[in-house]
Amino acid sequence: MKSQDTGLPFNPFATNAIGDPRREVHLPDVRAINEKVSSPLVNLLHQIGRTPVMAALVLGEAGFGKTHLIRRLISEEDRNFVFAYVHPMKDHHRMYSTLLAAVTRALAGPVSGYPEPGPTHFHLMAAQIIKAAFDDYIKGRRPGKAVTRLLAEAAGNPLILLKLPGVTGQWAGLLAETEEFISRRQLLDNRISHLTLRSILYLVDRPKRAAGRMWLSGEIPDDDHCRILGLTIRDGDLTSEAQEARAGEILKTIGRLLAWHQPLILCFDQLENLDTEKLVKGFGLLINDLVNQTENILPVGFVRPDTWNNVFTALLDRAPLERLKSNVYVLQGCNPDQARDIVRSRLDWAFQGARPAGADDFYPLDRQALEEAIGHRSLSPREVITIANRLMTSSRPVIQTPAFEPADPLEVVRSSFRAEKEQLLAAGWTDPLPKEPVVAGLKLYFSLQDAGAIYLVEEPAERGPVDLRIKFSVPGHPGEQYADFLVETAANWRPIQASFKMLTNRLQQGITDHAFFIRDARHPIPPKPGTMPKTVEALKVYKNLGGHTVYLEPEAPAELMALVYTADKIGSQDLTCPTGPAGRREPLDQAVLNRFIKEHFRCRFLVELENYLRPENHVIDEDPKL
Amino acid sequence: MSKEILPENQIEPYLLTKLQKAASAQGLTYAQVGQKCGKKWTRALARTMKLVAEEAGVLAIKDLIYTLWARGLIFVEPPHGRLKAPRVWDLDSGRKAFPLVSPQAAPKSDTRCEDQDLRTAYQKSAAEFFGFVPIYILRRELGWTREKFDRALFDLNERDNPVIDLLSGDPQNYTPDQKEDSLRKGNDLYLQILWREE
Repeated sequence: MKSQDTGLPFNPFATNAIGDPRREVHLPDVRAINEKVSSPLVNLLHQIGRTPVMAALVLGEAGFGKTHLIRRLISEEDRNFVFAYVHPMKDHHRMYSTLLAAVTRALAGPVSGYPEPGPTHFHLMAAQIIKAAFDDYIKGRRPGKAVTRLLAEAAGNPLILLKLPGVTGQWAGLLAETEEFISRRQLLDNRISHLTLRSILYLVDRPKRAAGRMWLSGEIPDDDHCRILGLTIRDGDLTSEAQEARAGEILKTIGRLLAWHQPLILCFDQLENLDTEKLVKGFGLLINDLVNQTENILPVGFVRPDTWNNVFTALLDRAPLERLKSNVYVLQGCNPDQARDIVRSRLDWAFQGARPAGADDFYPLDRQALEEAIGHRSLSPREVITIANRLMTSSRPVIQTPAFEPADPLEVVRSSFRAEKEQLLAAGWTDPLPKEPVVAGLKLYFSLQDAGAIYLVEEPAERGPVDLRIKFSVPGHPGEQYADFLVETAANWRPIQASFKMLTNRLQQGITDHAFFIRDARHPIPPKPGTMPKTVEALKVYKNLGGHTVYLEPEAPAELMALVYTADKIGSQDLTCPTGPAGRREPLDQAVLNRFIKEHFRCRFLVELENYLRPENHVIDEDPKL
Repeated sequence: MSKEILPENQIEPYLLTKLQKAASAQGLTYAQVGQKCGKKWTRALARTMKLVAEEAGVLAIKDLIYTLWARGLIFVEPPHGRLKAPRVWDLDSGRKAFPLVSPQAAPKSDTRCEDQDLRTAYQKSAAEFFGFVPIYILRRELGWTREKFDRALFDLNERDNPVIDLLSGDPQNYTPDQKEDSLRKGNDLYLQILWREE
């Protein structure tokens, strides 16, 4: 609300620590703060290729500008490098697949500076590779006038080569030449790397685009896409181990091909949330492979110093530990001058040049009160914002805002959840369904650790081949009941059929009482009438035994993922709540999240699911606040 | 009946509080400082300084005032004109009365010496903890009085160009006695320090 007295359109210090670097790119940046970290990090990227064995680690206490630093890197992205953000991983069996999803999502993102709809990083990469192959091809030949003109134009703008599929019958030949050109440089050493290059080139060719996208996701494509890619599926390709190995190989090839585009910075944020020994060790293996075998990709871990010193140094093997230790950057607090710069820049940002005539830099804050509050000491950027917010809200009647009232922690969680969900829905739903966070969201929902917990989530060793297994009791039914959940993202009929058979067996053998096959609503089974006959037959058997299929609309995975990302922020103390008039902020704890889940989180399909599992406890599906 | 005496670690805070409460337009002479603080304080000072006398006199108070001034904790107005004795002020009052001079004294040799000892202790552990050295380790390594150690850390942090950052860290990673040997300021608990780069 605009204050009539100050002319300030909004309170620029009223952020409730949503703490999402991808969301807050509009906030002003004070370059001097942590400049000694961001500049060397960017310089490190420029060294890639010259000193290939590299990784980096950023150590920063909560509130010391970690999110701000990531935001700065994102804002510099298009000029120097591609930026990929990796949420904390939840399943140590799927780390490469998760990483590949983050990398392909970044490369499939638009590059700014081009008119809408602009090219993606993949487009630029494909264009540069084709151009290099074209240049190589005509060496020692006498090209015609048209080709000479085309290459001259492509020197300034390689993207014009991507128009060729529609105008020339030579496109297939050009792609074959390109593959040959890359092969000669020993950059394609197996079937997977050839398919990866082909898939990147197919992304610019509309009829083949979906096949290319599916391969780059790491999943086994369906039969139609396999035909386009020239891919033959073998039994060994269907295992989760094979999928991980495939994802690793695809990543390696993408890394090599980035030599024709830009290096990529892989930001592993909130590493505090790797909360099992297997996840920490798995992360170590991942870093080792990225450093030793993947080119043009710089992994950077972001973690709180206590977690690093107490957990990671104890659990990581020597090799990844040494890799990460080779480039350690430490986030410092700001000195009083920098603190004033933060306040000044936020006010400039809010006024946008419309500051009242004669007003000083800190108007409408009381300058003396601000100086006293900042004092002579170092402060974290979060403390500075908190101080300014306190002055802003307490300096009545100059500013017509209410006096301090302790914020409701539940509201902070709700805001974070809502922001994450909106962002996920606005970004569009990736293909395929992101299995790992969806499973993690289900697990979080069913594993409330408070006294009234109804469901018990089984440990991985006891759950078998399903993604989640819960134990619960129902009044009037003797003993305990079990429900198995499988989130199936495959496109190919073979793994889908195998999943139905596995769930059917568990129902038949009485291992579980209920089975839920969960899938993206855009990929029904069968995808078209008359297709996947054997899989449809397996589905019928499964359903006859009481098995359930649940098709998720975009809202449901967005809600589950938003829940997980909010929990991650709590784990890394990125969600805080003002607790007193002196500007103190306390990190939120798990209990607030549990309360939010229990009292306010209403995911429609989970409500239906619960009503089915425990009909005596019918839940009404409505919460106007969400 | 035994005579009341302040604990040793209360001598400085008690004096600083008294100076703040007595904030006036004139400041306090050394003798007035002794009167304001009372006998339980002068007795404690005498015991700390191992004086023969039961209560500290003006000279002992002067010594303490000099130490506090050198650490930048108080303001001292030197004798001038008709003012025959130095006057002691708390920092805020001194800042208001003498806005043109720096209210903070330059660090003197003993402070620099403390800083150097602290730095040396910090550097011993800095590599192991990637710069984020737990405060309890430093406290135990240096073996200073609680007050001296706390004050030294605050001094290094509370400057226009702070030398160290005080960090809250994750209390779950510390035992109760480690937390006890960390640093408290009001409700805030600081568990680590980071020596800032220039």
